[in-house]
Amino acid sequence: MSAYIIQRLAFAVVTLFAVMTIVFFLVRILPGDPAYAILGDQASEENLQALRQRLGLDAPLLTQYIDFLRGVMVGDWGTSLVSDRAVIDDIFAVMPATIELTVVALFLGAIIGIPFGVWSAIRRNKTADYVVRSLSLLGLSFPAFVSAVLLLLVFSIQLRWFPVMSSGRGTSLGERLHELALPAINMGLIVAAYITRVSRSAMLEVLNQDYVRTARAKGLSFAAVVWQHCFRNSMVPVVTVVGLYLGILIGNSVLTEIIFNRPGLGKLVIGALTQRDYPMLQGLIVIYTTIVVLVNLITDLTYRLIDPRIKY
Amino acid sequence: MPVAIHASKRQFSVVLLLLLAACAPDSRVPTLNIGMNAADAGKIDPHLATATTDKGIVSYLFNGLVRIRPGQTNPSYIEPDLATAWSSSDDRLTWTFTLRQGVQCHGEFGELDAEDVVYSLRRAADPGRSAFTSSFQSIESMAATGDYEVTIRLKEPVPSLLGLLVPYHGGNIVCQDADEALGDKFGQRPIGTGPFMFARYVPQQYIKLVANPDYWRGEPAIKEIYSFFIPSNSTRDLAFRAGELDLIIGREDPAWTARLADFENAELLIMRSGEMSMLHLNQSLPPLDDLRVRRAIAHAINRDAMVEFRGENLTDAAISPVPEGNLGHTDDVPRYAYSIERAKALLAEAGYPDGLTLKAIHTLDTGMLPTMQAVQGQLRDVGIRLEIETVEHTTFHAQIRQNLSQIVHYTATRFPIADVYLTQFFHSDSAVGTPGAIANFSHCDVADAEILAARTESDAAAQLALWAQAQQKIMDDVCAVPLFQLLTPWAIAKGLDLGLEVKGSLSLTPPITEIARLTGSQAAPGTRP
Repeated sequence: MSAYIIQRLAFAVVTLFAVMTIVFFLVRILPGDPAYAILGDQASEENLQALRQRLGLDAPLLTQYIDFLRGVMVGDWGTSLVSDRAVIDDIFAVMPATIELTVVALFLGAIIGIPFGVWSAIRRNKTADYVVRSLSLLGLSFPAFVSAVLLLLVFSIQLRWFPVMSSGRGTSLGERLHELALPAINMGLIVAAYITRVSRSAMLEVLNQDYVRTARAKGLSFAAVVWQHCFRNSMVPVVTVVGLYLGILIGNSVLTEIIFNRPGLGKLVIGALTQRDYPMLQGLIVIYTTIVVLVNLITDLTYRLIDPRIKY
Repeated sequence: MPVAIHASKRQFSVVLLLLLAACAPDSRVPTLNIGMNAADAGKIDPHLATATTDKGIVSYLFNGLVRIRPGQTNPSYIEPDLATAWSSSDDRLTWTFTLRQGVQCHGEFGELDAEDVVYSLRRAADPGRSAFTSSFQSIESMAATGDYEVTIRLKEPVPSLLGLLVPYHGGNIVCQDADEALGDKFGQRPIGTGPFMFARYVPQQYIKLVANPDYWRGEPAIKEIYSFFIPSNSTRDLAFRAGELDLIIGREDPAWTARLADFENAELLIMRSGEMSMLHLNQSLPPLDDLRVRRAIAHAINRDAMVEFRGENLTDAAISPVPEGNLGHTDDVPRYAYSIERAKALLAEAGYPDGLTLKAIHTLDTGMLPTMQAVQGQLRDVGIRLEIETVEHTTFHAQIRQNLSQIVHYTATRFPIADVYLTQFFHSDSAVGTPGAIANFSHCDVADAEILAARTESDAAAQLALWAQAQQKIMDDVCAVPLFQLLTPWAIAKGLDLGLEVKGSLSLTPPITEIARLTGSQAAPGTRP
């Protein structure tokens, strides 16, 4: 087990290094000039050149790359070219908001999606199955920015139950949950649709196994068979999906964050890309890659908890 | 026992309610909520802020030696601010300013005096700490010649020294003690002398300002300002509609202004000076080196249709290369009436009877692209096929500066003195591809002499005449085809009274001064249902 974890961590380091290298050169290949983004369009070429020199952007790429790697090692991720604030401060200031949103959305998705998926599987080709499948298809095909605006129109403008924008002024838990509700529901419904489909097909596969027939034959009730024998066995693919999806969710949260005006990593990425804020982009990529690698590792380790037969 | 549990549950709810009440915002404090179009704050150091959002916030925090009357943008409205009086020598090279006494810097940083003003102006001229150094190149020396007297000596007369000293860009006056004490942190906690003081920044959410109780013009009626960063247009609109915001920046789109008319308790506020939209015709790339082709393009543009297309209340048609409302603007320039026949005839004369193909690199920016598509349609009518290569906005800015585009559609707002626009867009020193390159995309050089002479002309009338000649020459040579000025719309809740007539502001953000106040229900926070 521990050998496995060490092996995975070593692989994670290689992945991180590769991603950082690719991103470092990729952002610099893009046309566009951070000096221009900083000084604005009234600066002369002389001023721009002076700034590039001061920021070290005129140094050879290899020198910049080595400086960058050295910085990452010692935890110095540089200063944002746009805001002059430390990259790491800006990232950690908003990361909790993104994690809060995605975890709550994932939780909502799981508690809605898993029961519906199981229900749909045991009622295969009956009305309930068709209804659940149609709803989940609808949930999957609905763009997040459309559902977000619909939720706002109904619950914030018509019913006035929730605020339109997360103002960030709320300090108590109640206020924060109040502001989190709509964005989490918006993302949670999409996750639920996905999880419903995965748990349905996983459950169907298990229901067709020989041991299920045996359990029924020895006189166990259908409910007992489903919940005691099938459910746990069907959860391995569901956990895989949930794990993979968490990484995707963190990346995809940007639309929800923008429409509900929540702080988050997504907004940072967009700002850094449009303004060619190299240090910020690099810092964000390190964070994103780390999250995805860690989540995958945790997912793999969870399999053993669900299915003790799995060995590493 | 069950009774005891019941009691503790009730106690718990009471405590919870009290806690919630304690955390709720105090609805009695007059709080202004503004919705800005930005994902986050950039730099709020007054000498580095270039984004509209940042400049708007800075404009509430700082004073200048003089100011343009709030609500106006034309430098002819200059009036005293931190300086109570000023005088200049006959040759306009030596200027003396008398400062107001008793002006306090925000926080515990004491009274503002002549040393602070000199320090601040030097800071604005320092390339290491300012993005606006070029404005100060003509200054030879600055000195505190008394506790409340500042003397500025110039190397050569400048078009408007007072224009440099309004609270905008480098003219914002910072307090020396605060800047030295805060060092690199000054941009995160700016200290000025204005009606509002910086209080808090929450990343990607808001900047909070509070009223300056010791403001020398009087304590502001509005006690708190929250400036929210809301990059989504629809979210800003919805939050305004729900009463969560009192003032939002709008969209330069006729559909948006039409929809605003349906909102109760809201008014449209149009801010000048607008963004000047212009087609720069690149003479360094054939066939645009041929004056007849450039004139044909000018005749092909139907400006009235353009204005109608972009919204009549959002646009002012432009016929001169210097925007209307700028000091030195003239309407008396060669005009090219819309005429398909005339355009075709000129093209035939230039050797293109079957039309020609031009290439333009253009940004994907949705505020600018529709205009260029309309231009494409109008040029097609005269036989000019305009190939628009769309690229991401930052790439666009890089590529047009590499001289890759035959026609450059550019929009810009500048300090409203003719010299700025003429120098940056039409003087050969600013031509792209040269060391001093700024934004002369057309490689125009016909008015170099007039632009230079006007800059140092000490007689105001003669200066205006030189600027007018420059504009006439530029239009005669068709270095560019001015289209219109796109104005900035804001939605303002009826409960917010700015207390003055607002035609515009340099920062394009409505002026919130000590006299602005909130009335009516939409004003108070906590009214949110």
